[in-house]
Amino acid sequence: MAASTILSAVRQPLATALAGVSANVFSYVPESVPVPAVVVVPDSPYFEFDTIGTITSSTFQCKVNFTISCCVAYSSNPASLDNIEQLIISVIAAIPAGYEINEVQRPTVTQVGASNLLVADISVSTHYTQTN
Amino acid sequence: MAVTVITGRDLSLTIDSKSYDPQVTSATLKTNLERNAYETIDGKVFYALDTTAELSITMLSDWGANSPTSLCEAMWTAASTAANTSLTYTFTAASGAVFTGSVYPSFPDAGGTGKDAQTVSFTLQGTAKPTLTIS
Repeated sequence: MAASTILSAVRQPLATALAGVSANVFSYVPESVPVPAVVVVPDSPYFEFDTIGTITSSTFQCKVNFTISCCVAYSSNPASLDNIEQLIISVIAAIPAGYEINEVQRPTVTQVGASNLLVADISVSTHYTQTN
Repeated sequence: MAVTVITGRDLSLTIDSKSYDPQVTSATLKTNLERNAYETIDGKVFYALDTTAELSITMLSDWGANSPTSLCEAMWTAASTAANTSLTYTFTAASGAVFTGSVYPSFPDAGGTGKDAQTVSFTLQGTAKPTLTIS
C-alpha cells in the first residue's frame, strides 16, 4: 500500500468536496482570482502536534489547520455582502466530515490587481495520521 | 551535562497489545501508596498498607474508527462483555523506562461540543502496582 500524504488524505478530499460549490476552487493561491472564488491555503500554525508518541516519517500524526478564503466581487456593498454570505454557507455545507469548523472572520475589502474583492476567511482543522 | 528533557513524544501506550498513540493526547499512570499514620509517644510514624494504580487517558474520540483500532470501542466491548477481566498495558515514559501491568476496562463517554473535535477522558483502574523496567 502506498504511503499516504497530506495532499491525498487531506487537501485533495477537501478540494474535491468544495468542487461542488458555485465558485472557482483553488487549493493554492492563484496569480489572479476569478471571482467568485474559494482558495484553500495553510493557516498558521499549519501543523500542531497534540498526540503522544514518537513522530517518524511512518508514524507522522498532527492537527492540520487551513484557511478557506471566500472571495466575491466588491461592487455594491449590500449585494456583495449577500453574495459572500451565500458563498460562505455553501462552502461550510460542503466541508466534509472530520473537519472542525472554527470560525468565519469578518469580510474585508482586498485589492487584487485592479479589482476590489470582498474576502472572508473560514478557519478549519482536521487530524492527519500517516499510513503506509 | 545538560538535562535530557523528555516530552509527550517519548510516551507510548499499548493496551491489550494494541498501540493507541495516534489518538491519545494525554496519558498518565498514577501509582498511589496508601499509608496509615500513627501518633505514638515518640511522634508520628507511618505504615504502608496498600498500593493502587490507575491509568488516566485523554484522547480524540475514535468511535467508528477502524485504522487505527478504536480504543473507545475496545473499552466499551471489554467493559460490556468481560468487565472483570483485566487487560495488559505497556506504558513507556521514555526510552529505557517502561511500566507494565494490567487494568480493568471502563465505559468511555461519548459526545462533545459543536465546534471542536470530540474528545473523551477516562480512568482505568489498575489491578496492582505497575512493574517498572529500567534498561
